[in-house]
Amino acid sequence: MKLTNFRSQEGMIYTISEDGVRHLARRLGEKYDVYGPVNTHDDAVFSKFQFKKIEPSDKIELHYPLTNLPPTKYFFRARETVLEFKGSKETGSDDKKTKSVIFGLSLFDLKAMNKLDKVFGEPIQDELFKKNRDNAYLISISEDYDPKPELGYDLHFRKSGENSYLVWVGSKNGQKIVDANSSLFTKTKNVKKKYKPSKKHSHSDRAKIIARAKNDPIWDKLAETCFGCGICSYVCPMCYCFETQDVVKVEGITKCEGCRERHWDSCMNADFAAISSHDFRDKLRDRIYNWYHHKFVRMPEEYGFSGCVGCKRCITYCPAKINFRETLDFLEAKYGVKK
Amino acid sequence: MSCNTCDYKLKEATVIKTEKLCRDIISLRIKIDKGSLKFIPGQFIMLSIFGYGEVPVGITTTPDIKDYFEVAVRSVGTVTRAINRLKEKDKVGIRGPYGNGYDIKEMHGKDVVVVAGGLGMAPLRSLIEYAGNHKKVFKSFQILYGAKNPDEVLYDHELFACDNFARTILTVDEKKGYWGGETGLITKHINKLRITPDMRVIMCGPPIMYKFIIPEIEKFGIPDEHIQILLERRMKCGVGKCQHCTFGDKYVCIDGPVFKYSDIKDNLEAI
Repeated sequence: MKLTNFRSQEGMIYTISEDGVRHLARRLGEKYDVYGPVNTHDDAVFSKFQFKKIEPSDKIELHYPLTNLPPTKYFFRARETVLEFKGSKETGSDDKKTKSVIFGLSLFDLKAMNKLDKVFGEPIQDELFKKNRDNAYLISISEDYDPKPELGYDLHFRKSGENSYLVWVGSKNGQKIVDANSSLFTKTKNVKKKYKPSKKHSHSDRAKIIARAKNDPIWDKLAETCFGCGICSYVCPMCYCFETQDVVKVEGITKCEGCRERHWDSCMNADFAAISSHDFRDKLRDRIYNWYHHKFVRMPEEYGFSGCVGCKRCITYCPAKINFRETLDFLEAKYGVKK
Repeated sequence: MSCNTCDYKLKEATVIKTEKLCRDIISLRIKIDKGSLKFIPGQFIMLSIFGYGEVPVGITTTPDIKDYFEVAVRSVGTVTRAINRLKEKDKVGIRGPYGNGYDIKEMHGKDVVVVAGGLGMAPLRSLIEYAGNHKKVFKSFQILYGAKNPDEVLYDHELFACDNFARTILTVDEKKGYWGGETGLITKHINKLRITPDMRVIMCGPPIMYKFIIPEIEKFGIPDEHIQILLERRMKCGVGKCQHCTFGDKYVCIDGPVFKYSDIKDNLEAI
């Protein structure tokens, strides 16, 4: 990954005021499409805070609870054109995109972005994802008690006292942003602050536990409560199942014209693993198991990290009030090695 | 994999011949407009018709033929029904080939038996044609193929003509009209094969077939790693992203579609 190779020069840490942060967002908006969290004041949705394109009239939220959809939606999009066609010819879909800035990612979402980079990049690079990703800068933000993220950001702002932020530069692009807006940034010395390392679960232990629990009655019990609606996948910054579909324009009825779209899917949906003659996961219990299995067994095996960043969106938005952590705790108690 | 990026773009190709193999299965001979398709038997392609969509299909011809390749598609859904309506000179889109084909190296100098059920014959035909062209590669070659009824026996003329290099046993579940082959499920005819413990068994068929045939084969002392199985799954990307074809820790599209039985036997969802 391109971001891992960059090392900011020793001591190159800056401070910026809270007003400065907002001012930077406005300035970047003159040059790029800036997306950030805003309060929509809309009671009809689960969370009033959502990532959207920032217009001059919008106020970016610097302290916000998680948005209901993660900003990863700008890279792995809910709907995206794969190709366009007219008759039997594939026509180009080379839409020139303006560079964009995702402003104010939470640490959860930044972590998810780093993981998705790898998921879509290995072993085969997905070009659709890459095209969106190459066009974007990531600016993350965190509170003063949060540890500094290790990588993946172009710029990272961490709250530091009243109305001020510490700024880490994570890439050449980040440095360019700083240099182009140098009046907003003040150089400062490296600040060292020790954080207690958070308790870490070993992937392999958890993977073993879940593999062992394949036939546990808990999956049947969950299937009784679960609606199989798939919202846990749609709000998850790490879920990336997709379906493709050809969409034909109305004018295209006489001469087939339209596009092939890929859109979000969920492994919780019925027929997800069905072929004409057989459904390999016709029971909801098996689809629920697959969701856990993918996140905590298959992904650690494939990529070396789990398919969860701990944002708890799936818990917050589950209409059946299922909490995957309770399931994991239950399984760990039942199948884990006694300490 | 020949490339390690995927942009889902298609190669233009033309249908140069169609043949109804039975009531609801069509065989298409396809020529890529620019260039040719390099593949090994057992690999699959994504076949597109604009306005309908894209499906994974196995290649049914030997890679020795460079000018064209063939696929066989059963009419069951929106896309496959549209494929079954294709005519000569119609345009299609192609991506691939994808996945891992049969491990032919592993069969060198060995007794080989091919076990097919129904449309499972389609991707195996690629291997059978290959064997016909490279007789010296295998010590012996046998084919056991079961279909529902004589109408649904695919490539029957070709298979009957295989006797210059292969022993062929064709069987149908229900006899109907004229039928020169056997009747009954394929498990009934295993004893007619010449089975040696060191032989290689290559299979493709519906999941139910594996359930019954594998225990029968294991009785002869053939180890699980000498059994190769081609699995069918729903697929949308073909490159290990969309998650539709996964089972356990495996992807059918990039780890398969051909698996050693020993690699998948402990996986309850595999077959």
